[in-house]
Amino acid sequence: MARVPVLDELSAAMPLDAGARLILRALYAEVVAPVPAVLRGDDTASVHDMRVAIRRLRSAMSAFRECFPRKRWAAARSRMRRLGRKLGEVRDADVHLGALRGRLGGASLDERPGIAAALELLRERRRRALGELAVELSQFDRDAFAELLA
Amino acid sequence: MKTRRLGPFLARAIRKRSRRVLEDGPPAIGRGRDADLHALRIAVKRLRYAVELTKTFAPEAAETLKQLARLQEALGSLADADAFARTYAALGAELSPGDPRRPGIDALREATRAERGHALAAVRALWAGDETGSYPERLAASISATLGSLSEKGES
Repeated sequence: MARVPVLDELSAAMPLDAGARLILRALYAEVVAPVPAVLRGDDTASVHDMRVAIRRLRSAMSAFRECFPRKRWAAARSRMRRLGRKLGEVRDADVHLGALRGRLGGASLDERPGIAAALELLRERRRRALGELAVELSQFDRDAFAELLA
Repeated sequence: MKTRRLGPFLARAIRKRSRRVLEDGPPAIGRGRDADLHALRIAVKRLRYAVELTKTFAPEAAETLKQLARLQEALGSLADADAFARTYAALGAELSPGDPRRPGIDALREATRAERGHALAAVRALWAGDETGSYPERLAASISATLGSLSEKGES
């Protein structure tokens, strides 16, 4: 399971704006940490971690929307949503492949060609999605987040 | 101008997100349609992520997180089955009746249908709870404890 950042500095009584920035900075760090492993291509755990980290960040961004300048917030949110969508396609293929591999061993001879076809389709989906994710990451504008959290 | 504090702000976010889960849960689980259950799963995740942010200063949040993780996991199995079913349906639609791949795809569709049935039954059983109380009652009580703690600690 993806790590929830530990934020010892947080307190219920701290000013909202300072708390929101602290939280978003920590969650953003969790998003970028697995990027090298994700781009290596075969690290399914890192794909999962990054996907969950993006969801956490997007959820927090939505909660703290009013603490940030509207345009910067919208730009950062849109970039993160695109990244999350691409990553989701890779992760969905991983989950499905994991479930399907277990079925092949117990399948009858009649059933094997169909299961093999499903496996091939999912491998192809994953390859394509990972390629698109790499493009998305290469275009990902980290400055948008630096500006948002400044 | 009065400075706004993190605790009460998060309490409001949690209250709003929990209302969504508690109100949307019964019709979604009762009907069992994938779109409603998907929306409920997203609502559960959003609530969970908001509660996670309070862990540092609200120890009561741990119980809420435990309960939300159980529901999220149960709904996740259901969502997986729905996603698998869509893939098999698309694959099956491309095959002619005599295609050698058809028996395997049909077997996968059948197995996935059965798994979805089990997953939905598990979600319904979790939601119904046991003799000590229903899931939404327990969730509401633990959220209430977390909210109380946040409001007290955020006052200054």
